[in-house]
Amino acid sequence: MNRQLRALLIGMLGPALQAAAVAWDLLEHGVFARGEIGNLTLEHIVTGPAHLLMATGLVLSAICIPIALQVATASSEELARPEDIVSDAELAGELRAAEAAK
Amino acid sequence: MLAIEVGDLLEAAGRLPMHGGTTGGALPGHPFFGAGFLFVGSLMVVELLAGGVWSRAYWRRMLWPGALLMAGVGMLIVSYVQTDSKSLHLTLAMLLLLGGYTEAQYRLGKISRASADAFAIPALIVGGFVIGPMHTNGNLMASTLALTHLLVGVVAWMLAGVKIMRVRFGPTLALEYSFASGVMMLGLSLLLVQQFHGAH
Repeated sequence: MNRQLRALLIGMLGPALQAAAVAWDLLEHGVFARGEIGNLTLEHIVTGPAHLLMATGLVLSAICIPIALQVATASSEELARPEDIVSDAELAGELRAAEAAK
Repeated sequence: MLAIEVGDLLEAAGRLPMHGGTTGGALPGHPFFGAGFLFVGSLMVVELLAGGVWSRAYWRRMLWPGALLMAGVGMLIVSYVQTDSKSLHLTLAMLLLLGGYTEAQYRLGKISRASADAFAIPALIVGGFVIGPMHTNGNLMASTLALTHLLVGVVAWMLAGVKIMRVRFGPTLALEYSFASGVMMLGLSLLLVQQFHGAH
């Protein structure tokens, strides 16, 4: 995966969650529970799942957009994970190399 | 001018009823734990996408164990404050705290991944039973609420399955993405529980 696509996915994760939250809230108040719109409570505003999803997306956007900018300007070496995680492609490559060595 | 408007807004918010009949005064734990797991799961996906850039800040590496420890402390508070299902909440709190501890030990390089998974896999399976079938308090198929609780349990078992596959086939990016997405799903399933009832 190239770094531009990685940066795009990182940057769009928060807004995507917020979009899902808006759709959830519109469905709840516009379709499934239309009568309850006039009886909103503070508890519902604070603990409503769609509202919390929206808040999560907002915080995620604030954290992730700077990371997305860092990823967009990083070199390929910097994007390699330091841990021992290897990709499927690398595993397949190692298998092919081992078979070729036989 | 702005202060007056903010004051009016706060006053209007204060006039809203504090308990709107959905939770009956019980702690609304599910949505906050759901939002927390969704947040951390999303950051785990970002960690995989960002690669080495993520590790520029040390605290980011400790995010997952830190989140588990915080969730464990939160669950301890829930089990102390809430009057029902105390043993279930306490069990979950212990699993979360011990899970956070073993993950922290792994990330600090003190134990191997296999050792951390040796605790995480049984913990996810037990946790799935506790929050799924046991927490429904009745017939599993009796209501939407029971089904959403069951969904949370199934997601926990799926996460255990991903960990087992990691042990069996070794670490691959596909499995790492699956686990991170699974944590996001765990959060979403907890938010769904709140959608269908409001209690605890």
